[in-house]
Amino acid sequence: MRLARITSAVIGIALLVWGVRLLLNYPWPVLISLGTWLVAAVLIQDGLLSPLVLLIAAGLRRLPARPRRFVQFGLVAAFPAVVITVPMALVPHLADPRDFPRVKALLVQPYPWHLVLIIGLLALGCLVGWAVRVARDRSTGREPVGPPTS
Amino acid sequence: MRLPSAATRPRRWPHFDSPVRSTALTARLGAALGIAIVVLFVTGLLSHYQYQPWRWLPEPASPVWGYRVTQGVHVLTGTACIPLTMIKLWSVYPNLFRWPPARTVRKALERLSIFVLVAATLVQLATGFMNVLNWYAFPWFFTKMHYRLAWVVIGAVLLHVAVKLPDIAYGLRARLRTADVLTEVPWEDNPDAHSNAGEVEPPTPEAIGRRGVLAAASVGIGVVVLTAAGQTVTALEPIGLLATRRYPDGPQRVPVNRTAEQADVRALATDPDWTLRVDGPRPFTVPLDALEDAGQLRISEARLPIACVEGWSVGALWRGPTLLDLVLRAGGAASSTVRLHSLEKVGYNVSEIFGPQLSAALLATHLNGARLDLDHGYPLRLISPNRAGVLNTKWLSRIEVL
Repeated sequence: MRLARITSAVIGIALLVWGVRLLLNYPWPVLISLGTWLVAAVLIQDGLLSPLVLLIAAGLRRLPARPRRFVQFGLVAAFPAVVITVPMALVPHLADPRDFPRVKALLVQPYPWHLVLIIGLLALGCLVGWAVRVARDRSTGREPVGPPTS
Repeated sequence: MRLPSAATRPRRWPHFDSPVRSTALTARLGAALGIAIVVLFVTGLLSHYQYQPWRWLPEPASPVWGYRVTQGVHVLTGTACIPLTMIKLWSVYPNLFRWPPARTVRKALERLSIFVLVAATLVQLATGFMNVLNWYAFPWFFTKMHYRLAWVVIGAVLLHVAVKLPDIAYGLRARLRTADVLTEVPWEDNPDAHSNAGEVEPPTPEAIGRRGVLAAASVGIGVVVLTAAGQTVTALEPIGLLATRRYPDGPQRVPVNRTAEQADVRALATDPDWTLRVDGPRPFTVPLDALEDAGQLRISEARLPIACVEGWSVGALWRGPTLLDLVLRAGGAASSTVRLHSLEKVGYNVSEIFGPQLSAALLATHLNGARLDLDHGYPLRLISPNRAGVLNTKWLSRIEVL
């Protein structure tokens, strides 16, 4: 393991230095912009999005454990589609309309409706999963697991 | 040098007690992300090579779908990495609140390297996706920055693996159910950390378990990949709910990247006096009406994909004189390097071609059975297999045999 760590570190640092060297060829205004984007990305992820997830998770604790499991599954499964689809739906309204002539066939689909469809299908899957779980627990006489919610 | 101890921890400090997070969960998410980033780096380098190949290593012309596959994989993998990175960062969020932030200079440098890794990866993925969406809200030329930042990302990943290898090894070996609980308490002070305890008792599942998180993330990312792949894989086009391009909506069933309006070539391209100038040891010109004359030029047909750097691609039927035919007539050879000039004055208005791609190239006058649309490069464009779409120069005006 020691050899693997040293090798990975040496190659990693070399590539990192090479990348930084390439970036330093940019003029200072571009580097300052890049630095701003780098800091903003971390602030948005750790200061906005992650706390939002914690807030949602805290809110879900009001639900009983068994349905909560399926709601959480559905939310995690829907998350990738939401993250990808929201920019697709917003960009044609945020960007210069001259960049989106019809002939480009770019972002021409009704993405909000497609997102609703995807979330709907995932929700249906979770509902079916929950119903099957309830039926199975009843047939085996098993109590739902998890700490009491009250 | 030693920094403040845990005793100085602020009174109101976030505490993470969820048993879902674990080094085992993070290691699995990290392994998937690490593999994806290596795929991104390799396919990205292959795409970058298209722009300036070495003379002694020309781009091959086969398989004709080569660039279609590598760039399609690049964009789809990058798209999948956006939610995957965010889920992985969620799994290690408590580490952000370790107190003290760093006990030694070595720990401080480690945290700095993680900041570089996270920041560079997020910006690389975000701007890459913005490029796919044609939204250039950043103040730099995309291609160059994307290439340079890629080296920072891959270097930071390898450094991160070196630093975290003991954790990774434990995490991948440990059973998901009985692996440690990851909290904001540093390993040295956490009795449940893998470095201190052996297998821990399975945590009481509040609701979703670790396996559930992995399964849900896999389902969600799988859905995104399947519904976005329709922009590259024709068979998946009917379920392309999240595809950025729909080829049936483009003129002649092929999407357009740069229109004649944007390139400001409408008047020049539709000029009835347009001629193609072929410069070389024996220069000559080809007038507009001679382009489709099989008596004067060797006309060929080929079914070739056009594949864009933004990841979308579509197969099409192209027809027109072969480039090599004109090159030979101008005194060149199959071993020549040929420079193609567009009527467009800026951007990718000049490209060079040599080697197998030169031999396989067509100068297309027709697309899918009809005369080339103005936005597709009328009166004449280059089309060559396994070549980035932007390098298949449109609105040709001059060919130079170098």
